[in-house]
Amino acid sequence: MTCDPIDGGRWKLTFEEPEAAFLMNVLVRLARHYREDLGQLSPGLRRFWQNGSSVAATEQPAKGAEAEESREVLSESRAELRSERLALAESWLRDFELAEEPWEMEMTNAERDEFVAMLNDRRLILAVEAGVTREEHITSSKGALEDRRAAILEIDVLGHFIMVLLGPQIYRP
Amino acid sequence: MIQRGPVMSQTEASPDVDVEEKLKEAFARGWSVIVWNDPINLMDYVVYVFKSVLKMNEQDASRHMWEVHKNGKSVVARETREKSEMIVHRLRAFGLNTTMEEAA
Repeated sequence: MTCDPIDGGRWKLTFEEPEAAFLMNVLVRLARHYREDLGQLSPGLRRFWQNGSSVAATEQPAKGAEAEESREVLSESRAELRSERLALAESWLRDFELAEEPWEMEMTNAERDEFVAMLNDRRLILAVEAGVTREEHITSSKGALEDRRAAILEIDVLGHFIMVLLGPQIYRP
Repeated sequence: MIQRGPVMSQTEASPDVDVEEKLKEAFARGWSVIVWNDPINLMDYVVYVFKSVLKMNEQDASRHMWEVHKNGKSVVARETREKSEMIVHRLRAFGLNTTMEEAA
């Protein structure tokens, strides 16, 4: 996969066929997830979409009426985000289905940011579902169950895609 | 928007009013936006998000990312409640574990 700047602040994304197939699969799963009712999600995923927290330890009760009001406002915004991202996932899926080799997509800067953020949603969803921790992430989970291993692999592959998409704009030490 | 009373141009603005406004705004910035460490978000990605959402330069974005990584959290903004809500929403939209709280 490559991501190159083109005229008018737009980006051209080019994929190999297996990468396109992988991303279509990711978009299908994301669309299915965004479509699901919050009440149907596991407690971990519900917490992620209501409080934006993928880590239970950082959850804090709102202190005071204003904080509670803010918590509700933010929770509603998160719910709206799911609908917006469902529409985007469906639109990109249509683009992918219509595309032929070479697999290419053009995006504005804002669309690319959304695409990256949605790929990151998938990483976080997988991590919450499989209970992936940093240690497992690094040591590639020796002895872990097959589905956990698959989740870790997908998290890492998507991480690589995100780094390619952000290209020259990412931090270089 | 309907303007009530005489409209005062910027050059006519009283310095006292200006100072009062600034003080009011400073006191209103009593909400901290906190980003928490998590095991999944990539360091480079977090730096990109800080630069993109908070308009930080590379150095500040990296410093806050390391603070999150090493200390478990970093206060990335102090703003009014409304602005803090907007920042929290945008950081969460990128998947960062973010909360806001009123400064003591």
